Amino acid sequence: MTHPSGLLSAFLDGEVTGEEKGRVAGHLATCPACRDEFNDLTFARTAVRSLLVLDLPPGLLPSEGGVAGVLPHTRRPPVWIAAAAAAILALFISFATILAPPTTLEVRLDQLSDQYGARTSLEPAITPRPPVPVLERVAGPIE
Amino acid sequence: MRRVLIVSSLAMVVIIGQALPALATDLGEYLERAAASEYSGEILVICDTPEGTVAQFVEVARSGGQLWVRSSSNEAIAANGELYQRAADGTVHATRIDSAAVWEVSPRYAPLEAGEARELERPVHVVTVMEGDVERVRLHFDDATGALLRSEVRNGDRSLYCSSSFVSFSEDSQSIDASVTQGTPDTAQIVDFSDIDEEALPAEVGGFKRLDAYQGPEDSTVAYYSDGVFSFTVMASRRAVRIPELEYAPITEIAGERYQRLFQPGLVVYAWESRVGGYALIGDLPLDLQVAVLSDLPRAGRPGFFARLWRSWFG
Repeated sequence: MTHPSGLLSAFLDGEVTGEEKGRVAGHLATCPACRDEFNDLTFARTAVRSLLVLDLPPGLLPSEGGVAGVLPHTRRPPVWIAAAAAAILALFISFATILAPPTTLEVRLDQLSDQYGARTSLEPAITPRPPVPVLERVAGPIE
Repeated sequence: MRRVLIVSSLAMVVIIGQALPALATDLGEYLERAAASEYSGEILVICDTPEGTVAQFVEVARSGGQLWVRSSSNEAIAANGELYQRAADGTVHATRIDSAAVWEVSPRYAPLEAGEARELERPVHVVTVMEGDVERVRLHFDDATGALLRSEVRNGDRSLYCSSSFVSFSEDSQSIDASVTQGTPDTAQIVDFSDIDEEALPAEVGGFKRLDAYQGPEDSTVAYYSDGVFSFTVMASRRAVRIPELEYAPITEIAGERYQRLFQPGLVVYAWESRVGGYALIGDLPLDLQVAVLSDLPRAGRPGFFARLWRSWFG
């Protein structure tokens, strides 16, 4: 089989037939150059997928008529109502910030996968899984 | 003569039909032999997911009951509830967990002998794990060593979900690098079983039994579920659970609710917030079992403003 460079991207996108998938996997098993290219593509895909996705500002979105950049004209409430609302909101946020504990529990993926991996090592498993990539583990005291 | 042939054919069908139960096999024996086998080689793990194909080559070696796995970015050794992982920067993290739970295959699965084949020019025994009329798993065990040379996992609609197959295999396990387990790890987590509210997570989810529950980070509870073929852990907290690696992961809708989901080769990770707290799940479930399990756990759904306020102030 010639090098399936053109098929590697489609392979990773799940856009190849079962027969093509078998051919590509078989070729990758024997061709170090294609495997390097495959690993580079996998790395690039992972990097692209980890990029932040930003929404377009509303003013740049096309309107129903298909013209972008036109914001609807709205009537503003009186200034004193907005000021009072802002003051109440600021007071509320201040109290909430002072009194409330953090509402989010942050867990690292490797912490979760290590516990799962350690637990599954007690049982017969049908798939040896690749370890989850450790990006930047924070060193800490040993419990 | 023709009638005799038809009758004898029917007789053969009946005999084969009666003989089928005799083909049932003990999956545990095969997997135990595989766990005790000694080898080294390279594996390609490929999973077809709704977000595309995820695939990875990894080096593996098994010796003395230890499984060593090395990818391009890190390496790990796991055995008997201990897992050591060394990152690319050289730091080593150790995790230890105990369990008294007994592994058993759910009665919904029927492991069957499926004949002989060849894999990497080596004779193998093929075992299939049937769930009703769906072939859930197909396993190729090396005759000589008992090693699992190839495994295929299918979704409920019979489509292939993941395959793991050796692209090179050697009976020599000398390449195992056990240095990761030597010396003092940089960080360690020892799973704590004390004072656990086991009722925080249900005893059975989507046909999976809860085998262990233990203390997770801070106020969270972690439970491990298995049906003997697939498994997962769920972390539950009264607070929203945030996994930084999932921050920009695709959002998927299941039963009309939104979940963060990340596929890795051989693994899937979910995180979501329900009206009663935050959850994270990690496991090796095929696609339809992911839906079945998530449907049995508190559904995703943002708690109302006052519920969040109450939770943040009073827990």
